[in-house]
Amino acid sequence: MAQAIPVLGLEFWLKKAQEWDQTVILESQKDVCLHLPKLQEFLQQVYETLKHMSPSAAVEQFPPIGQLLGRLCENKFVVGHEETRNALIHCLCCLQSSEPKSAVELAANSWVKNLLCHLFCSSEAIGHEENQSINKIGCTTVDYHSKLLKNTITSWIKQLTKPENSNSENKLSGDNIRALSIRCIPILTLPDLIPLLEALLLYHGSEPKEVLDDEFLDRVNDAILRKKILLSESAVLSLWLRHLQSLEKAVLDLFQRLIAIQSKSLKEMEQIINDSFLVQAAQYPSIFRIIDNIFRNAILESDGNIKIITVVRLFTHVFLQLYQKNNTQVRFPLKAYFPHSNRSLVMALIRRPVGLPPDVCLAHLQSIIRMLSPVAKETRSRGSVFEWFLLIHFGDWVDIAAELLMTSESESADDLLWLLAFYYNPWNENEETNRTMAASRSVYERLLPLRSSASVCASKLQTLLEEEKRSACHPCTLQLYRHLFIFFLLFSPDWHVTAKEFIAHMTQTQEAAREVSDILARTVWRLSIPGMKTPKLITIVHELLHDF
Amino acid sequence: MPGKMHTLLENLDRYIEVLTLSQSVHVKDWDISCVRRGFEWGTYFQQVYHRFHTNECLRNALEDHLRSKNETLSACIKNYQYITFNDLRYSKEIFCMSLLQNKALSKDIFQYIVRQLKNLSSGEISICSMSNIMCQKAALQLLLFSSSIASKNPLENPCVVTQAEILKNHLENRIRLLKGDHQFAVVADVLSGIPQPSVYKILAVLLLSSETCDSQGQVSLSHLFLKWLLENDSAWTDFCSKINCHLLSRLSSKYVIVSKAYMDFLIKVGESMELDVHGKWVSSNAELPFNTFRNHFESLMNTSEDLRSATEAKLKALKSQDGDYDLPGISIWTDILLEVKKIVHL
Repeated sequence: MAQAIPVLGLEFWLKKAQEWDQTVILESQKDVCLHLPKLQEFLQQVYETLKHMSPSAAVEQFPPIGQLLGRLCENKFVVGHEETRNALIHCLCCLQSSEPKSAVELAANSWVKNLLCHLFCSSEAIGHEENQSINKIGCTTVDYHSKLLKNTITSWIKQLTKPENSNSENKLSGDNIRALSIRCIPILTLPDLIPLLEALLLYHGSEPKEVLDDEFLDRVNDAILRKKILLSESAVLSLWLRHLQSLEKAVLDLFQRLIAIQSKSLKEMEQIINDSFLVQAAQYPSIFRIIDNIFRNAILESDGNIKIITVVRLFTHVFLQLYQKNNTQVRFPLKAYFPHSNRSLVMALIRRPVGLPPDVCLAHLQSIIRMLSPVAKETRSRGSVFEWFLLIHFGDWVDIAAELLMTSESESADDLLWLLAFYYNPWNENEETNRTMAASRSVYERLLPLRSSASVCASKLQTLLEEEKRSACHPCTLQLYRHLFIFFLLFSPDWHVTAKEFIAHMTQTQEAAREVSDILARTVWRLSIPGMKTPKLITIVHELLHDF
Repeated sequence: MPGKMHTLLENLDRYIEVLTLSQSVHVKDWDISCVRRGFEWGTYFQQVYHRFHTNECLRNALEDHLRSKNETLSACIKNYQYITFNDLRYSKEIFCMSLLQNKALSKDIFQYIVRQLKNLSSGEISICSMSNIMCQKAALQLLLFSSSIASKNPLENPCVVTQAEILKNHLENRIRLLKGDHQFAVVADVLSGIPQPSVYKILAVLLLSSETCDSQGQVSLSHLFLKWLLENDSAWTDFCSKINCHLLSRLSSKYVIVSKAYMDFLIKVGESMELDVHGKWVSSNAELPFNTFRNHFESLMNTSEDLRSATEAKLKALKSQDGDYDLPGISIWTDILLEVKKIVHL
């Protein structure tokens, strides 16, 4: 049992504690802050070992333990961190003998008692002569510290928000502010501190360099993402505008959470996006473009992972909802968010399809395709990548194109098929898109005659799919096939029993299952709009989704 | 109901006595069950606070009762700490802290309390919210640093401002039902207990931030503070020497009585000044060199139009009393006028 305290650890921390005695030095303070999580972990390990030992055995086996704990108790940064302080208290309690026998044990007991009193009691002078007078007023001073803390914080805020040109007496220097930001690290989650954190984040001095410590910015961002603190929107925005790493972390954190929940409900994902505050921050074009850039990289690096594409689509949707709602503040033009894209194409894609009759939808889609195809058909052009990425944001129109293909006798089927082919396979030159298109046309043409039959059996569809798969096996083309087959079944609601059977056949690989589930989930999300009459279809899709 | 109230007040009396005893040597005879009962009563009175703090009638009754209990106890206990109705909200914390700070506390009880406190973060119901107090204390140790926060100006010094807040609440509560001289006696008693120069800084903050001015009919706390400061010559001299001249000027423009007393103080210092062999004005009171002395007048001239003209008139009158010399180096008042004119462009 005794071996549980890594002896090396004990020596390492003792050396650290000695170095940290110089807490007047900023770098040393920062070093404490950097080590706090590890120290807390170490102290917990120590406690787990000590609690099974008698105090004298503990001191015998680990002679430096008393020196280490004593030094740590004197360190404001260590004691300031609640979890570390509690671990320290637990360790100290283990060194107290309940039945002291020797003089050494008696002395140890009184030493521990003094340290514990030092940690528990608030009567000790904070280090200012003025504090001594408080005890002479003749009243209980149990709320003295809460009042003093409030006033101290107010005083810092007053100094941080002093106008630039005000009297320079007592004006805070950049070094002062950096020191203050480091001192906030151990106590970040203290509710009283919130106004000060906000004032620090909103502080902009005349210095060209960042005055706030990067570790502070990092920890604040972490605390915000872990929902340990709740700061005002303007403070969070200011953090992300001044500290790029924090913004990147926030976006990655959102990705992680959205992927981790593995939700089949886009509504739930939408809620998470909304809560992340990134949508609000993205109303600033510079932030939007950084987020969008991260999205683009994520899509490229994941080879167009369907889940990530759905995240981008959802994020854009929530972003636009807020953008369009915003009538009060000065609104930036849309061009500022999509600087590389054709403005009229952006305007066309932004149009919400909800409630539009099919023929209007079709006409609108055709105008989108007219704008998109000339750019897309330029071989290896930068433009085609940008326009494809733009289309990803507004994937609803792609779903509508697939829906129209399967529900109406459209003369413009070729256009719609091209849009789908471009959406699923934009990468390799034009030729590749053409091949995908040809393959999907063949599927479409074979599905079309089946639409008029009263019933379709799953095995027939299976044969059809297998045959087509044999002729064209590019994975992108396969994705398109799945989309077409599912919409074919969904929008002929009498066939939902067939749909169940067929989907079971189609989703034997994990990847296919993910894709199909995503198509179903976004169909529910797209069509479940108040006022739209599609309850039967939605019930069916829900049922199908449930099977996953 | 009257019966219930009677029991409540009796229990309150006992509990106040327990809180008082927890600070005394008598705790050496306590056992763990005493302490446990102390915490249970603490819980009870915290509930009393939460139930009645918005009920004015009951609250007043409890406050009045506490006031007389406090007076009785303070008469026979040195350094007695008053317990107010608001303190009941923290009754367990007061009890816990008194015990932990008590040197006479037995080892067993100490370990009992520490055992309880140890679990305060583990989600169990702890005996009191010491965790909160510890967090605040730890935060203060981190945030109270650098000269920018321990400002010389007491109005910007959070320690002084907080003490002023606490002193004000304490005194207001104590003198609420007292009349005339008794009020002053209490104020004087408390103020004399606070070490100098803290007491002056606290008073400067309270006098400058109080809203009540001279014209109000009712005797305000500010009046009692001023009476205490002005009644005692050495207190007033100390106050004027320890407090920054800008604050003294602001006090002068707020209170007529201060403006007069302040000028008297300055005249007295001026009259005590003599020229040394180098031709410099030195005061027998070495704490106030000529430059500092001059700053007092400059600040008076810069504070308000009224103060400026009154100060100038006073200086001119003093100068003519002294023989109305225009040459420097003969009368202190001539020299002060010359210096002040340089800066404020009279």
